[in-house]
Amino acid sequence: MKWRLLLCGLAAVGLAVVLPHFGLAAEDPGAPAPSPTAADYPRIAGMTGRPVVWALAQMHLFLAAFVLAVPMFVVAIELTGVLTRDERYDRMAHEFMKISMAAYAFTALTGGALALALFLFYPVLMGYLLRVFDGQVLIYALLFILESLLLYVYFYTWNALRYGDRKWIHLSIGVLLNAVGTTLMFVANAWATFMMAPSGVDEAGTPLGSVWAAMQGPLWNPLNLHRFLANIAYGGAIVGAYAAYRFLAARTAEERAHYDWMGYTANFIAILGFLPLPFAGYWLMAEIYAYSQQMGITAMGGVLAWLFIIQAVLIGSILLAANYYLWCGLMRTEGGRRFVPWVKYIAAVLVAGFLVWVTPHTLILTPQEVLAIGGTNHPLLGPLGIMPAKNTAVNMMLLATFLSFQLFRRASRTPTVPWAWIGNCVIAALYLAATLNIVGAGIYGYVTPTVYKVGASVPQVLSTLAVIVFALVIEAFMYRGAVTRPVAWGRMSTRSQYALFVLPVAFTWLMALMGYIRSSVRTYWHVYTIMKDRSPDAYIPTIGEAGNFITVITLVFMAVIVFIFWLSQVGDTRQQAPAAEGGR
Amino acid sequence: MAARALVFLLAFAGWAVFFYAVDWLVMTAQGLPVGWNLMPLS
Repeated sequence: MKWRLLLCGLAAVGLAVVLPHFGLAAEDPGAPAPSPTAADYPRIAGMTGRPVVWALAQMHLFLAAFVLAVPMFVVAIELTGVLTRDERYDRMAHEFMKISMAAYAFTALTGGALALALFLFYPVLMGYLLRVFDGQVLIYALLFILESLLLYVYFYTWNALRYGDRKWIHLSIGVLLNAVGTTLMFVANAWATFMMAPSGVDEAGTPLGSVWAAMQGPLWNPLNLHRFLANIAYGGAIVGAYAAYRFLAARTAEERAHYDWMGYTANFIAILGFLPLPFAGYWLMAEIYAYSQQMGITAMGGVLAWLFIIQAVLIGSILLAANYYLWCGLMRTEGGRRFVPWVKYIAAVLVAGFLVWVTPHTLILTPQEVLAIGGTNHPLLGPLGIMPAKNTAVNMMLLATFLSFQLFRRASRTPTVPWAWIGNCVIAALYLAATLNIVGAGIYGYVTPTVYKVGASVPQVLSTLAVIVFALVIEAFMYRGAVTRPVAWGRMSTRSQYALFVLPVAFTWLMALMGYIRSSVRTYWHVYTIMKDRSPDAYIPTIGEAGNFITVITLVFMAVIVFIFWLSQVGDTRQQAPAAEGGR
Repeated sequence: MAARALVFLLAFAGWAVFFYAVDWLVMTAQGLPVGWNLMPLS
């Protein structure tokens, strides 16, 4: 595998150095953006570029998100192990890395294939991007090599640098690995956001001379933050599925206990990354609207708007699955049983929020149905189709999820500080005040002009964040010196593990869907308003066509993930030595 | 019980003031002037 990676790394550098010279050498660095013709888009084996590049880019993104995320939380878990002097954390962190290592080769392979496909199918566009970003693609390739080296050093020195000062050296390598990995992602993000909202070029697309200016488009940092958080949630979800897979296959109580704990940790990481994610997504969409209202409307009010309803279904499924897993986890401790009656109320909030979120603004109806209703907007449900209702629903669902998480944390601990009852009162009052503020801001959106309606979503977000931050801070003081009850790791139902399988499937589907939307908002432009796409694929596919394509990519990726899980498991399997036979 | 109710009410009042202040400041900071009742100033 190491040799394969080395070859991929060399191939990446080779591509970066050699391919720009194919038909691009004559390009004047100070020229405006080229205007390709239909003849500039080759067909290879009867195929146009879009399906090939779409599938490869999405596969590479899934894998890259996973392999960049895992070392982030692995370093955090490893550090926890050092600080708590609990060897279990160290073992778990090492096991998480093992899964990531198996996925790394696939990431490199899909990345190399994507680069090749881009240069073959879109040579003019790639030539222009290389010109705008100057030698940055070479820096990217070198960063990739550095990332690979650090990843291997980090993984293979795990046992050699295990204790004392050496452990801190190992942790430092991990931090360095994450710094390089994050930089790598930020560089690639700059290329994607340049195509959506170009900067550092004039109106004709002539580079103004600074790569840094081309990178700093208005969407760069929102996308950086969104992908950073999404990667953590995604990585957590995938390793959670691995833990569930091993839990279901476990033959001993010890194994079940270990993988139950691993699944719990993974679910915790996934929720941790997921809770702030809608806010990062909101920032990204707000910046898209600020950059180009037309682009924003294409995404959320036009041809792609129905996909946001599917997004709501998928996010609702993720929240229901994550909460269900937490509720099942309440049964691991005796103290958790007292919270079980609360579950039905949390479930009611989640289901109500889910239903509001999936309610479309405009229904697809037959002429008879339009006549019966008196229009395409349902008189009762229609008002639930607009953003104030959706924002309210999402924030309430996030609050409910955080409450589930809080109950789960409390299940195994009893506070000993005398003022614990005051802390509980303050937290309960915080929930009530935040809920009223979120619902109130939602209603406010119906009675005020549009700009105020949009503006009122920010206090809603801040209300949810305030609950999370203040409740965690108060609890941190409240549970100092708390009595900890034993947790019966492994005492989980089989069906709870299927909730852990739902998470990566829904996340993968969601990423494919939203990635498609993000890319499609450019409509018939390669680089928005600067360079037109004149290929036969310069159209937005129908929802059905896009949905099918996204689903196929998701299924292929899940097959790859199952293979990676199997590889990781088989790596732990040792064949018994054959018994001596008949004196031989 | 009465002590709990009192603490809860005091805490609720405190949080209500906090959220009111946040709402007012956030709307104003976004360039959306609002009155004491948070309604748009025309």
